[in-house]
Amino acid sequence: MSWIGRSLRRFEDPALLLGRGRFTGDVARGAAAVRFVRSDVARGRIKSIAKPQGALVFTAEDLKDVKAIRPLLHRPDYVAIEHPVLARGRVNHVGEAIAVVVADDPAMAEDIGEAVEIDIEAEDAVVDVDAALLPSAAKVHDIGKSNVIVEGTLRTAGVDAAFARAHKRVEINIHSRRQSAMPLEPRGGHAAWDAATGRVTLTCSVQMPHMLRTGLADVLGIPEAELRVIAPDVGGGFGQKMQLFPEYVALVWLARRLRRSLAWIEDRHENFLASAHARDQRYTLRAAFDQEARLLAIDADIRCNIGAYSCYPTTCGVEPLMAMAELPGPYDFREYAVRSRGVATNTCMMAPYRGVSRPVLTFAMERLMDTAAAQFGLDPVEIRRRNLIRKFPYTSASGLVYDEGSYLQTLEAAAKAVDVPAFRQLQRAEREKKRYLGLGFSAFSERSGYGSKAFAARKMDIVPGYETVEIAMDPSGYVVARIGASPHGQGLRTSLAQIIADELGLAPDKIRVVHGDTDNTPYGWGTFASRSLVLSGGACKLAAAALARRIAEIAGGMLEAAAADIELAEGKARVKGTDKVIEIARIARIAYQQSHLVQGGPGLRESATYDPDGTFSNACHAAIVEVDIQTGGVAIRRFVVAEDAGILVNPMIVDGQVHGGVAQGIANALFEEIKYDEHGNLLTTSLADYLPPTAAEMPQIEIHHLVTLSDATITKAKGVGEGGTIGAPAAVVNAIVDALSPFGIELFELPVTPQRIRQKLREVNA
Amino acid sequence: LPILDSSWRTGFYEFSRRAGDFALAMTAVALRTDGKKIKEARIGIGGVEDRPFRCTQAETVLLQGGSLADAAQAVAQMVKPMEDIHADAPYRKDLVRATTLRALEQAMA
Repeated sequence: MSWIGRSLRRFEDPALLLGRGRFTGDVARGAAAVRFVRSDVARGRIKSIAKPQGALVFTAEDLKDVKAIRPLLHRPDYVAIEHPVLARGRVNHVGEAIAVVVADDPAMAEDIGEAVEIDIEAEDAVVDVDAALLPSAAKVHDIGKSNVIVEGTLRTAGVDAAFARAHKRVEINIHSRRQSAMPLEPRGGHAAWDAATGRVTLTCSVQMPHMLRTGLADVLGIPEAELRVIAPDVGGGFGQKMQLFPEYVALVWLARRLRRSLAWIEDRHENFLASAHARDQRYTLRAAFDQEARLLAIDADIRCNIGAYSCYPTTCGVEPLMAMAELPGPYDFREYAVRSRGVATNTCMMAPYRGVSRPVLTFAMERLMDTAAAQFGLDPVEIRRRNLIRKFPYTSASGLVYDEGSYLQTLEAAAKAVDVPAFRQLQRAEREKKRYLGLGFSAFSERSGYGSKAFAARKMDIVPGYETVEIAMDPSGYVVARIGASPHGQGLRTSLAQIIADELGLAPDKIRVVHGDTDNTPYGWGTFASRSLVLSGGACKLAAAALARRIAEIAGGMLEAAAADIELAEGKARVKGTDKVIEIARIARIAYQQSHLVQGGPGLRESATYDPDGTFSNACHAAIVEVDIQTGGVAIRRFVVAEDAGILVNPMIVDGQVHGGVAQGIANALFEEIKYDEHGNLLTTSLADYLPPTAAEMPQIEIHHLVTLSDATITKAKGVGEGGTIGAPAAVVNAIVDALSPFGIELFELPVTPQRIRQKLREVNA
Repeated sequence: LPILDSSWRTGFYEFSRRAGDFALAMTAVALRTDGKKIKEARIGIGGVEDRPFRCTQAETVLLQGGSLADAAQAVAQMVKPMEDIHADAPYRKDLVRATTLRALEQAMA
């Protein structure tokens, strides 16, 4: 009986649902309060800072022994800009931390913060990405030739020839407005000073505790041994909590300097101002098609607004360089030219957000497909059918190698589920009644579960990728798996236990997964890039298999059989095909308490590291929407996901990942938008201005699973964490454009708000 | 508030970005009718200007035999909408035209 493939209820949920979770804010109770005093000017020179008398207020002057955060990419086109922990002489965006206050409680800290007088000589801010690229634009940083901080280019040999022989050339311009990953729990940290050891324990809401410890130690100039980082329950991160943020550096510095425990708990306003944003991108795509509407070539110009600083450890290359590498997506074409730039502006830093660039590049490619389909007079399904990848392994025009997938099959499954001919009939009938329905598709690939080789290829200074697991069975036969990965709500404690359970022949409830504590887990990376289940799951499988072999050896010795003839199932070791059996718990007891009877030494513990090249999941989304042409309102009538993530370890958790991802994708399509004014003032600083959708705006999501067994991972599971977010925006907007086709309206921007729809309709007097 | 007798019909329509958000425009109407003929009209508009108000111009349109659409257009023409991050003035005019027409249609249905 296999535990893999079963929708086990999550071990995490009882505590979370009963209010017994342990979040950073719970740990922080009673600690001294830390408050950051932030710039209300987007760009300027700090003339003076006046601290109130008798208060604990620190500025860059006090932090002279602390280095700036300096993320690095070893590429000649990367400019190594620095992010000071507290502003040094200049401010580069509204919300940048200038001073830090420590007081007995948060209210007092806020009052003291208000009393810090900062005089800034304001200069004209650079806000928009295209404006920042103008030769006349002021430079955000003194180094480098322009505001371009990173620039990737690629050009295959036959691009010009492909355009020359093309039957049709299609050009579109895409604009994705800025978003926030907006985790339910904002950032926060509690730095506990231990007077006995002189160590600091930083408990904080992060996705990468080990990396954070390394980054903090580097910037503070201390050995990592003096630091312990704990990620307790984390209320979502979606990439925002991957960063080494200045606030955490300041917290540890303060705990060491003041020799006391203190906490900083961010509110939503501060999170909007100063954490990280994403998806502020513009694309110009030129495409060449042959007579049969087969894509011959793409020529892309991609501009990503990276804000004022480069994020650590991925750097600001994360959006532009991923966009460059993955733009080809699920489509088979051979000629590709691209220039992709990351551009500094006086706005909050960009950082990875679930999907990283792929929601936007998929939007760009899928709008391109529908635009081309209209010009060829083809059905949107047909043009995709003609262009999707069919043979594996497939090497893309940008050089990525795709393992086996089901690109065509997921398209057909989604098309079948929505019943395209029946829908077209309904659409025509409803139009007679002045009701406007539309159908949109979005096919995409989701590169996932990749290890250090893929990250090294990006020339990162910090190369993440592998995951390590240390597994031990205790004398009563229970198992603890200490993982370097660090879940932020996705149920890894359950799904990893299922993988281990199958190797050991034990029930998953005898397996405890320990994570998020640098003192108690092996060095590892954490949650990002749809990797945790693939990487940590692979390491769990390897480590548990090694432990199973050890148990079989001991059992074989006791049952007078070869280890190879022992099978582990239902808590027992059995000589295959016989009734010779011993309880695994008995073996565990003997391994520790009767170790003189056991060959190979006492105890039952193993460890393993997994570091694969990576795998591609794939999916096709289909949306049916109704557009209210008088109000511009959009209602999603159906949402279908046909996806292939290989073997599903826990199908319920996978469905949950798809649901949550699609919700963020719909948010991206219709609702969420960070807005700055032309001076760099942030206009969206609350959930009344920035609109994450609620359950009431969410459609039922119908999921169809296809299973391709790829050899790219040892569990045959592929990553699935980001797919929902990647596909949904394009499907929804393609459906809106289809609904509005009687009016000849095209939309190439995100989000598509009711106001924007009405504006387009007014332009055609509708 | 007086209880309206059976000669009065009412209608309400609002538009917001999400369920439960403040309306970007809303219309509440009460119409006293004799068959399909409108004898008295009250049209209240909210979310469009800095305070809710009665749109007597649109009420007059109805009393003078104008269509529901004419009345909705009259509201859209006379309002001086506030602007915010979700709706500029032209969009609020579009919205109040739609909310008024729908409230009136609901009342007359």
